[in-house]
Amino acid sequence: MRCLKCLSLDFKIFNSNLLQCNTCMTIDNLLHLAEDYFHCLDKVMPETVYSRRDIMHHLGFDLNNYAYTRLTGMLFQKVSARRYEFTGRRD
Amino acid sequence: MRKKNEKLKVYEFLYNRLPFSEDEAKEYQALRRSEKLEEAFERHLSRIKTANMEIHWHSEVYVDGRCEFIHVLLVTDYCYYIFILHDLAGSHYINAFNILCNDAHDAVLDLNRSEKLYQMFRAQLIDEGAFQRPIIVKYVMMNDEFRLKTRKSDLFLSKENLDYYLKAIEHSAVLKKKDAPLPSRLITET
Repeated sequence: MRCLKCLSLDFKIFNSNLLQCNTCMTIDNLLHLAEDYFHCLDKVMPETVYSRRDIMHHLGFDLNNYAYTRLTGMLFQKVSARRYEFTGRRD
Repeated sequence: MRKKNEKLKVYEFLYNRLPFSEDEAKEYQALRRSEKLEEAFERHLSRIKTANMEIHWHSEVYVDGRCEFIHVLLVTDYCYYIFILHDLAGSHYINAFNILCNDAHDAVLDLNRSEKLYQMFRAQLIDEGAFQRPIIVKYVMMNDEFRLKTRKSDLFLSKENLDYYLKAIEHSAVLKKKDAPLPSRLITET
């Protein structure tokens, strides 16, 4: 994932919700960054199905179980056992 | 609230992940410049009330086979306003062929295209009923260093006049007379 402002890949993770870009110091929400990232990825590779490992690999860091469940619950739809498809934010 | 151009989002996503061709690199730079201009325009727009108008950002239209980028389309009860933003700097003049040229006599902008753009929108933006809202096309020069010598043109709007122009749009955005017929729903030809 990249900073949406300066496109840097260098983040400091505060918690499972907030990240700070180490280049421009912008603080952003993990959900927001992940949504933007997977939205663009969906344009390039539509209808891709992701496993837990794939999602962590794309994010670039590991999440705890709670954060992972929250992320998949809000942005993904389960298509089979441990496989998810990106749908965009569902509040 | 304005959303970033989808195309620019994808370009930023692919930047340094996949190689760009020369055309793609140019398009990416052009989209980034447009994004900065739209941000600047949005700051001016935030100074007026926009509840009574529809705002459409970054549309691409084809005029005579060439792509034209419309940065902002403002729709009010009275009128359609098309804003095309530029960041040209320095002295310019309009030559006899209605082309904007810089001091080095290089053609920068073909102003005849604004008429074609107007005709294209006129053909597509059709209101029901007798009242057809006028369409106004403006080139907004967002750079303070832009100067227009010799013949002036109503097509251009300078950055310093932009606030006044938007304020005038705000005041005229709504039909004041209670018994005046509202322009009916917009029909767009696809």
